[in-house]
Amino acid sequence: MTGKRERGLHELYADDPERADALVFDRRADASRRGFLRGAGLAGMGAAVGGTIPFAGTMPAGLVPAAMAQPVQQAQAGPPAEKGPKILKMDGKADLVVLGDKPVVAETPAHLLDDEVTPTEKFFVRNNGLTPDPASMPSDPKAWKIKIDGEVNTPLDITLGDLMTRFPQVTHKLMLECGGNGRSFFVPEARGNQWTNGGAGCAEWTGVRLADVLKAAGLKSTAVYTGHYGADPHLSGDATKPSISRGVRLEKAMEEHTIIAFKMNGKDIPLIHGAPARLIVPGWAGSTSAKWLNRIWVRDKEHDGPGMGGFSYRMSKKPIVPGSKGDEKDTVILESMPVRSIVTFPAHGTRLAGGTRKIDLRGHAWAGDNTVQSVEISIDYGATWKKADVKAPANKFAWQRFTASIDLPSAGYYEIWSKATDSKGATQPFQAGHWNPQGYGGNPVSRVAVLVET
Amino acid sequence: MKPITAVSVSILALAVALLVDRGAGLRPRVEIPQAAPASPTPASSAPQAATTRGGTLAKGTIPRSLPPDASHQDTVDTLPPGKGQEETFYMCAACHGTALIKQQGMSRELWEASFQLMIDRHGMAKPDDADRALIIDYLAENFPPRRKGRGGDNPFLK
Repeated sequence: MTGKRERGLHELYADDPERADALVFDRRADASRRGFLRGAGLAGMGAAVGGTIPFAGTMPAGLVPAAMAQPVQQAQAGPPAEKGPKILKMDGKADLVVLGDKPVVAETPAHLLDDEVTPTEKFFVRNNGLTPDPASMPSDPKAWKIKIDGEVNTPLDITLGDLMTRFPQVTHKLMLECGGNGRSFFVPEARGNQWTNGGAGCAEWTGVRLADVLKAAGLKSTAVYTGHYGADPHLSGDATKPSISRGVRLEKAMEEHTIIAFKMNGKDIPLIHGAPARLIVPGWAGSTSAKWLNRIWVRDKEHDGPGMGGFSYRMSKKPIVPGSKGDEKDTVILESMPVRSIVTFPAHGTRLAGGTRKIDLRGHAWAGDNTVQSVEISIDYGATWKKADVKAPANKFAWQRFTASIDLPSAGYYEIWSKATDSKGATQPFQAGHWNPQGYGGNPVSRVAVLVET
Repeated sequence: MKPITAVSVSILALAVALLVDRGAGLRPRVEIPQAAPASPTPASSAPQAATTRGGTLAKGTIPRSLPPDASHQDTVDTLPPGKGQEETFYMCAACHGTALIKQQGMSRELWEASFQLMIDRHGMAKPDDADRALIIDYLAENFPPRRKGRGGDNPFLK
């Protein structure tokens, strides 16, 4: 890279969105702050997004068109792209978008989350430490040991083999989502990996209920919280330091869908996803679902392992100025994840054949501990909404399928926006709100750009 | 600025921002012991691998290739040039990839908080005050907030 600085679209919009509109597209905001595209500007933005913009009249001023704001996935396999997002190259994994290579962090583009049950190869990856060396693991996975200690009458040091035979096995489709999912929507940037909506997936997990295991160990009356530990080494290589150790209130640990899993989609869990055993704490920040699980420490107070303090997995109690430092003392632990929806078909960047006037779209929506009550779709920047059909979840903590048939009045550039509302009445906002230093809870309406060719 | 130039330049810049170089050259000071490279023919040599690598996990649990963290090879020039580039690289990349740095955009105050978090939570070595300031200045200068809202500047931030 030379000293010459290239001016990005985001930077341009960041400095002054209305000026950027004027500069790039000759677009001027009118008094109502709606975007007002003059003849030349409309053509300019149209050229940039690749088509005319039928709902230009309701497109907000300063809105970076989704077509340019999000990288478009390349559908065909081929040599690594020189430009665009870095694609994960790993056996057994699909073309996920790499956010970081050490620790390994990769998210699933929305169109790869179209399956009813997320296939293992398409499942997002979020490590906090190094992936354990396979050579360091027992030759027989059933010999893997998990310790249950702390506020229990009979501490257990149980092998996975014993766990599998001693306790009833359950299989559920369970939502797993990174606590920071949606972080990239915060303005300004919050600390951490800049996830869009792809730090999420709903696989089918088989395991034993954590509640059964804890009951077998005999919970003392002092037990109130859990602390989870895995075998992944800290990034520094310091063997004495856990990479992360989070936990949950006992009530969540005892919930029947919280499990120690050993199968993912009917097969042994792959190494990258926590082989041979991991926790699944559905609906809560993924960091509580410890991979390579080797210990659960039952606590008599809120767990204080790495990842439980400071601003980690914590939201501000009082609203703070976006971009400010915040006060660690004025925070509360992020527990249930917020309501979110994604359009999984059509893919962002899809070109529809000329003459297309209707599209049957589909997507998934989920809401942490809650269920999704409704999903609405807009193709005119939120001016009007149409209700989608929403299916019931396959089981509690599974995501929900939504479908909608949408009329496209003409050729041109459209953004399909989706907005879900949960069973408590909370809906996705237009912008990520409640800014917090580490960027949790960012769940604005999702946007997919499509082009109907002339 | 001509509209079409601005757009093409910006798309390129977006792309560049997401790229991670993987050139050879200088490496981080701290080398993390890693597993040996995966066998080129995993199917046929599996029994041999089992004896040399400590045994076979159940079917499906042994990765056919190691995850990217095992071959992580960021170099100094994966960070933009500037005063403090090398110090920043050696301090931060001892543990994590530069992609984690480059995807962020924060004020100096928040970079300082991140820096302190690395010391407090992750056991990063405490540099002297001069190096600390040099690195935080570099981060704040090269990775400032880039996103702003519709209304431009937040009136409550200096």
